[in-house]
Amino acid sequence: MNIFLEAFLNVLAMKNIIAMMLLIPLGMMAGALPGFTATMAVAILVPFTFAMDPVMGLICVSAVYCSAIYGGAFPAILINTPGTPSSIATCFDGYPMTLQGRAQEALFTIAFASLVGGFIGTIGLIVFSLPLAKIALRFGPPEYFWVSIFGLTIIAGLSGDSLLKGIAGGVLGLLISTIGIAPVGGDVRFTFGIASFQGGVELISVLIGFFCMPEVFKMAKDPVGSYLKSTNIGHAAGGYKEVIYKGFRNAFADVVNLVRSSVIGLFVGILPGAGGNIANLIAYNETKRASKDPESFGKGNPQGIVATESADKATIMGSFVPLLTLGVPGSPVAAVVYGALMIQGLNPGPELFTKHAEITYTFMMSFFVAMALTVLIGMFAGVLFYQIIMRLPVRVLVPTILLLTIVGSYAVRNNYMDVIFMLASGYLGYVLSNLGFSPGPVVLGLVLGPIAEKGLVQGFLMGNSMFPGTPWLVFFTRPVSIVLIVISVISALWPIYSARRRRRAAL
Amino acid sequence: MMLNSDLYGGLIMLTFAGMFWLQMGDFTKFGLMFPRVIIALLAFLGVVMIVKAKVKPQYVKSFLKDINKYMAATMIWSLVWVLSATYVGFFVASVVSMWAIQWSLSSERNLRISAISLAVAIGSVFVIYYVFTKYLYIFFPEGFLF
Repeated sequence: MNIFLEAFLNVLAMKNIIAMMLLIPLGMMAGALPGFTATMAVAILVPFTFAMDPVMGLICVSAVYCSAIYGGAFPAILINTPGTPSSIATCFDGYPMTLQGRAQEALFTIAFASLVGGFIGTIGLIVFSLPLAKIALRFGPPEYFWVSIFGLTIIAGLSGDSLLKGIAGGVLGLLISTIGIAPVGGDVRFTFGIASFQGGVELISVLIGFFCMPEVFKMAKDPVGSYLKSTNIGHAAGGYKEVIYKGFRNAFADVVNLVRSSVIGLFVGILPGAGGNIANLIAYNETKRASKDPESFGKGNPQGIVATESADKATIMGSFVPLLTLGVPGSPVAAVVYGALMIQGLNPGPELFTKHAEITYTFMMSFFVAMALTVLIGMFAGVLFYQIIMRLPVRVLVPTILLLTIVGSYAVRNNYMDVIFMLASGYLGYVLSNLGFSPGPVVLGLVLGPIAEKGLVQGFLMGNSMFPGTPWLVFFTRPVSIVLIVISVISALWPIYSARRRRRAAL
Repeated sequence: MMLNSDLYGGLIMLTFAGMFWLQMGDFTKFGLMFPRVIIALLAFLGVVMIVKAKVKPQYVKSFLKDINKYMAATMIWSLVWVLSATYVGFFVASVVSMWAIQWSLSSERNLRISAISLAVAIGSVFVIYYVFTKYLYIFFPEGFLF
């Protein structure tokens, strides 16, 4: 117990708090800029940590990581553009809330949801690291294939009015994900003669194209005046109290949702290769599925953003479980931190919990403190962001957003083809959304495609050696696979069951 | 005017399936396993949508009529911006396009508005350009101008 207390006091040292408070606004700005990912923010920070003592360096890393992921929700809520892939599903209900004049309520709601997500994630990281790492080790290619199939069953919840169009959109996303070098075999596929496509399609470019560009075009349609509706709440004397209270009430109105989403985030985070981009979609779908009023989702239901944001924050801590316990970096940020740990003379793996236990537990504890400070600063930053966007005239806002989308698409890989692809996705997204296709399934397909393909092909290779002649048996005989199949079947059939139950209730 | 969304949606899906099908080259068994299934599935869904368009069509309001002059100007200038940046350089293309979009979306057009728009364009592009090249070492395309 002493070690936990010592670790906690280490985090609370004045120099660490000041360092975190200086870095958090920078991390938030990075996250809020579409295309500038949390990985890039942490990668830029890491060289500066070499000169610091290990504790302070790692605390700075956790502050930037937490705040970058948090900042990604601002553009998702205010301009329907996920700042990071972890905020994809935050657009679904956050942006409708903005259109209803409830942007500030949404910004305060995510603050409280993030705090709980961060708390549950930190507890999970500290207490359950070792058992969670053992579970992660049981996931081989067949399990990853079934995880992606389970993910695809979410399409029903993201389809909007037409399930057929949702499925078609999801399959289109899967197809686009096959552009580039095959994960097994190394074939260069579907490049259409464009050399830049050999590296595949950049998720961020497609996200910006499908979510942001159609909204920018619609925004330009009526260029007179300001873009956001003013709520009055927050402007009138004492108004902030009311809107903060609303945010608090939204976050804690359904504690089960809050806890379930955080646990989903933590669990998805520990799976190497999976991350916030998948966790937020799964958490959103589970919340919608469990809700008594699923039709209200996508129309500004605060429970939607509570689910996605709490899951995102718990994913941060989950992604460090395989790194700290096994020495396996499970996410791009964890890979950057792996390098930082090595340079500080700390070998990721079991040694961290014996030889360097104090530093390790301080790092773990720092996530919660960083998240608490992020939430505190984020409340003000969110309101500031909102005020800036609200005051800008549409004729200035439209080209400014376009500038940021172009820079964001380019900055990810320094590849100009990503910008062209972003714009092409924007035009396609505009046409498809007007034809009744929701952008959610397309992006879901794009996120899950590489995991599904790798799982399928590697699973077959594995099956060839385990069951010669019937390699597909490998997908149906492993215990974790069977559990995932059952969950996938339940998830796929749930909308049918739910619709039938509603019809019966209506009779 | 109403559009049969199933018909157009189905045609778009079939077009994508066809484009990818034509791109299938001499791939290895492992490289082909997944995309082959996905292309077939997308083509099948496209056909299902076209059949639905005949049997039980879903109509949506024509979005082409929704595109007014402001929206069209933004869409065209975005395209010009993105395509010209590699030729004239990111900085120049961005300043010109930002100014042009602000000009197109202005309700009143005079010298004052034009000057303000130009100042906003130069200011925003300069800040982004400076921060990214100087501190983040992300260098934007340079064309024959800058």
